[in-house]
Amino acid sequence: MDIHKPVIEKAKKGNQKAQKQLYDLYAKAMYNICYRMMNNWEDAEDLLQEIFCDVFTRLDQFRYESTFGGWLKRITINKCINEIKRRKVALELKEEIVPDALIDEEDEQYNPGFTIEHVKHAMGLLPDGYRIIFSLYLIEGYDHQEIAEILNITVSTSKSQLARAKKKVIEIINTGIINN
Amino acid sequence: MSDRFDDFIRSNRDEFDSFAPPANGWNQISEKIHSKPNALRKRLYIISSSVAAAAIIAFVVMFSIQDPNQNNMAATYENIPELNEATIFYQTQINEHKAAIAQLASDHPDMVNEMNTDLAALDTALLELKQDLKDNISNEEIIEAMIQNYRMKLMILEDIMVYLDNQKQENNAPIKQSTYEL
Repeated sequence: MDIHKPVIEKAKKGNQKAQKQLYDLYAKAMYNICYRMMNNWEDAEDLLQEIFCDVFTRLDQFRYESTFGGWLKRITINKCINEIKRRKVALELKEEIVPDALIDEEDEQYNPGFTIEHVKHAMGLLPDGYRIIFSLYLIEGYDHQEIAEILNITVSTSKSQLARAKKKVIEIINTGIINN
Repeated sequence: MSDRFDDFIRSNRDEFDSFAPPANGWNQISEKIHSKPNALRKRLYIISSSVAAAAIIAFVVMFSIQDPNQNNMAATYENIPELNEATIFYQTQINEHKAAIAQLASDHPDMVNEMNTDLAALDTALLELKQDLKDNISNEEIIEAMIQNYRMKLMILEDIMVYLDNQKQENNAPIKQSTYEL
């Protein structure tokens, strides 16, 4: 059972206190997802507002088939992807074969001096497609099959683009560390 | 292959959610979703249509029963005891409801404005009916229309009272949850 069922049920009936409680619980996580997906604070703020308005309007459709957080997260990600597509931004998610050498190389280049701030900064410099797959796999915890469904790509494209994205992040961080 | 980079990110996952959402975020969302509940909005729309209809009825009643050759004594509340009694009854109820709503509706200024507009339209229709009563003779149609007018005001106020009471109860009910899961 969803740990928030009593609150969700109240929110379904339009109880403002319950709705605010759900917002307080999840707004920060959803805001950070929006930012990682959109790479822009203004877009993240607008989408956060739109997402919660949508969620509270169609909350009666939530049937506890997943956790409320999982349902909300999927809505958030879909909304962000739809917004990116609406703007006709090509995600450039090309299918390609990634040699094992690339994956091994990536591990070799990892430096224990990395910080999460380094990673966040490098993510901001990635092309949209790389950033989204990197974020969905490593931060949001989706597997390649789920990412393939979300982005309507093949599993192998998801894998190859993730490998490229990680390599790029590591390169950016290493370059920055060397330059500093 | 052990991927140290993946492990590093996953073991520090929480640090990725470091940004706080905008401070006024909830207020903006709340304003959008609670500007007025749909059911009440529909109900008030129906009532507003009825208010317009009541004004038309008052107008039609005035012209359909007026007879310029009649010189009967002007009818007033005082010489129609049933109307006098009904007026006192309804007016007391209306005043009590208005006072209760004034205490509960401070967070719903739009609703209060709309309520006042509807009540003002009914007041105008009532004044016309009172004038008809003076200009004409006491007759059943005018008295019926006046009582309908009072009932309609009371109905508007009762609807708003029910909505505000429900809101108050729901907002006061205790809720305890502090963690979240994704």
